[in-house]
Amino acid sequence: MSALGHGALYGAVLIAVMLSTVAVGIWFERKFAGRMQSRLGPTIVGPMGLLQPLADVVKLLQKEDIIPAGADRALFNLAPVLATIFSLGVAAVLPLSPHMIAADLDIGVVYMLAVGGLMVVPTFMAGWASNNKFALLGGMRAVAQSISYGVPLVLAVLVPVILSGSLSLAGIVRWQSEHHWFALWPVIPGLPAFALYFMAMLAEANRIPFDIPEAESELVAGVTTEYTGAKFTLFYLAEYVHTLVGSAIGAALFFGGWDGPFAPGLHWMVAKTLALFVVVYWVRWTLLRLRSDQLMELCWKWLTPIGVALVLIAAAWVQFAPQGAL
Amino acid sequence: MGHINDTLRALWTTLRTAFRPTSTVQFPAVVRPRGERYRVSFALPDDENGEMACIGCLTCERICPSQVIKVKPGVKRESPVTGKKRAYTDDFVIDLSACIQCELCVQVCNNDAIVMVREAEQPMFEREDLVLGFARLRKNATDRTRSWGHGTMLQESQEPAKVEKKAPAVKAAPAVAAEPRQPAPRSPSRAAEPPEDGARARAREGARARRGGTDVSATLAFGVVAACALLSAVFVVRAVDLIRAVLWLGITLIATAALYAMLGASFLAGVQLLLYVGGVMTLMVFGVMITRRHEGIAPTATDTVRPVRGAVVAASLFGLVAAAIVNTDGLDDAPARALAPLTLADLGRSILVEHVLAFEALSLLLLAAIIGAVVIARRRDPGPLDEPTEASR
Amino acid sequence: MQSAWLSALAFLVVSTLLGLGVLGAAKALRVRARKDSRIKHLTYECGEQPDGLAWMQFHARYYVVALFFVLFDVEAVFLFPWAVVLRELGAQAFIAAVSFVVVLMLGWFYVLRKEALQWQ
Repeated sequence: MSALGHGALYGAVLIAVMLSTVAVGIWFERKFAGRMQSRLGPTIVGPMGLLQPLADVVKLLQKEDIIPAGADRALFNLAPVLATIFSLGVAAVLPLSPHMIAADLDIGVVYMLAVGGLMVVPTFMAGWASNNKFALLGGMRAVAQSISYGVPLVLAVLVPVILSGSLSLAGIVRWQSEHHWFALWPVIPGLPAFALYFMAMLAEANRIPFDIPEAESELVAGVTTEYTGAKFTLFYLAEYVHTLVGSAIGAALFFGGWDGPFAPGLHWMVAKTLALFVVVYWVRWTLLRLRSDQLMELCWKWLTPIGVALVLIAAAWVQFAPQGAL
Repeated sequence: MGHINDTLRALWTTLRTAFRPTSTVQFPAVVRPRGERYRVSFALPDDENGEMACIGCLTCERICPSQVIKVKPGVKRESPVTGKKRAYTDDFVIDLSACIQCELCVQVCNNDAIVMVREAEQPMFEREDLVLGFARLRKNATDRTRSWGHGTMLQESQEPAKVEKKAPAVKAAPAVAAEPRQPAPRSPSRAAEPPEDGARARAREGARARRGGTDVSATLAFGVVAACALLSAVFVVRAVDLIRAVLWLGITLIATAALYAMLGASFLAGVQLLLYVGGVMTLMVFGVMITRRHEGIAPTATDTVRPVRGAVVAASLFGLVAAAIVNTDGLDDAPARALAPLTLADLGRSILVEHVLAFEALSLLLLAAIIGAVVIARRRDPGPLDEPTEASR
Repeated sequence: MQSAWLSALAFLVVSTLLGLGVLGAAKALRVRARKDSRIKHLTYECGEQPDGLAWMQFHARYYVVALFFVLFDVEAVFLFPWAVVLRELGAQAFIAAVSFVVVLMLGWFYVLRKEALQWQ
């Protein structure tokens, strides 16, 4: 099969799977959040409210398309599409099983950081094109937050790269399946690096407790304030896909991806991804939002030096660990 | 440490709650048992002789805080049941729309003649429909369930009595399913994969690249991407709006990344996206955003010095880059002899062995840039202002 | 390697199609207002009349944050090739990178002391 056909086929299948996962994920989140708050969650549409996300999508697609006065129409329309492309595009380098990967780039890690980092473009674009003060403020805050947490994210990702000596996500997973999962061994750069990655991933996806860019209580809805209908749907989708793909990459980098006994690799990868996805919701419905200044202080004063230290510890481990302890 | 501890405790609390039964139920399908003292509407019941108990004494009308009770006392006459003389009431109206359900009227009634009931009235369209007349109040007495309290009992319970405190029963939390621990299957004997034959793989890539070099589709792709880069570069210069200019620049930078990828320089392509599109572009956007206004910057036709100055700078930059390319060795037969793609390991070796001095010097350069940024930022810092320093008018 | 990039490109094209597809589906499905009104297109400002353009001057600290991001990312980017050859080159590469990082962390320390990244 040609490379283009391979990418397109995997893209179509993987995107369809991710979209269904997001749909079920939204239902699960509402149900889970309900239970955490001693409520029932959705119950009416379908059995146990399972069809609720479908109803939501149909509702959203039916909404009138309103472009605010004074908006930059071209950029306003372009931003949601770009957000979709970049959030889905990261998944191209996801290794689902040893031979299931849409685009086995030898620099998969850099690709994932780069394309994920591009999310700042549609975010700012939407905020700026809306001609709305809340949207612009939200956009600026989101971009500042994303790039700040980009630094600990890169440092956290460097740890598995150093330990495995590979920049390909499949290569990193293969190393882990031959040796140890990095979250388990070596536990000192591994586990804290995973915690660092997880926090940075939440911040990049603007998830609670790092959701100050769309803080409802002060910024209405951040960059999506002026968006309605399908364009809002795309932003919403992009946010969930970003979280889902972030969980999958966390599973691949730190929890051995497809590696696991008894079941085929794909099952393990999916199970690990979903487990991390659930943790994201769990955190989201538990913690409170951080203030802007706390956010920046946490990132630059604590996470960045910790990340640098972890990178050095990982390098020292590679250098000085006895051969058997690898 | 305190924060981490608090965070973990919060997470534990929500998880525990998630596995407990909910406090809410699906209302129309499931109706939870109401409290014993639940009360919503009123009724005028009979006394023990089967007559209406109310004697029209007006105590309830006087006590009602929202003054929703209107009683019309009737004349005293002989009771047909007992033969004794007693008072009657002719009319009794309660405006339920303003009632606060305080139950004071029930509490003060010495005859237990007004009580509350547990079933609510039907929702109505008009406020006036919630005014309960005599007939409805009498009907409620037979149709609906009486609530817990009545006058005699409530007055008795006013007497100070010793309250027995019962300790709340400790409910055992349902066992939380332990998270499945993933076993870590490790077989120390698993042999490491033999290292890939790097040289052969590279030769294969090189051959493919060579074939690709003469491929029409590759040339076409190069043409499209290069045209994208050039066109968007033109738009950068032409754009009146600064933000749009920066976004066009983003497309130029992405197209450059695509060119790197097509040349087999994967890492450079990724870095181009990561640093230039993600970082430098953001820097420029923020640079524009800290200026005052984006309007009024449009170049005017009368300004002739600026375009000329710009053209001179652009031409000399072009000359510089062109000279550098022309003077680079080994590019004469470039189309025919594609270079073997450089792997990341080659790059790392080159940085850390041949150019290690430059690598270390780079850290000093970055340090200088950081210090410079701090100095500039502090000089321009206009003081403790809030986020938007000024909303444009 | 290039073929992997082609696959990635095809993946991105499919994601683009999805984005455009959703917009297209909405175009077919969505309701249209019988009568347009100016008020509907006002930007949301909590019910007030929108006051001027949304454009406002932002604080310079946004710029500083972006600057530090670029600097620290440049650092990280140089560490990627290093990470790949670390095992092979041994102690020499380790020491080179440690000194590289330590010099940069001096800069970080300076930033902290001067409170250049203080947000409030």
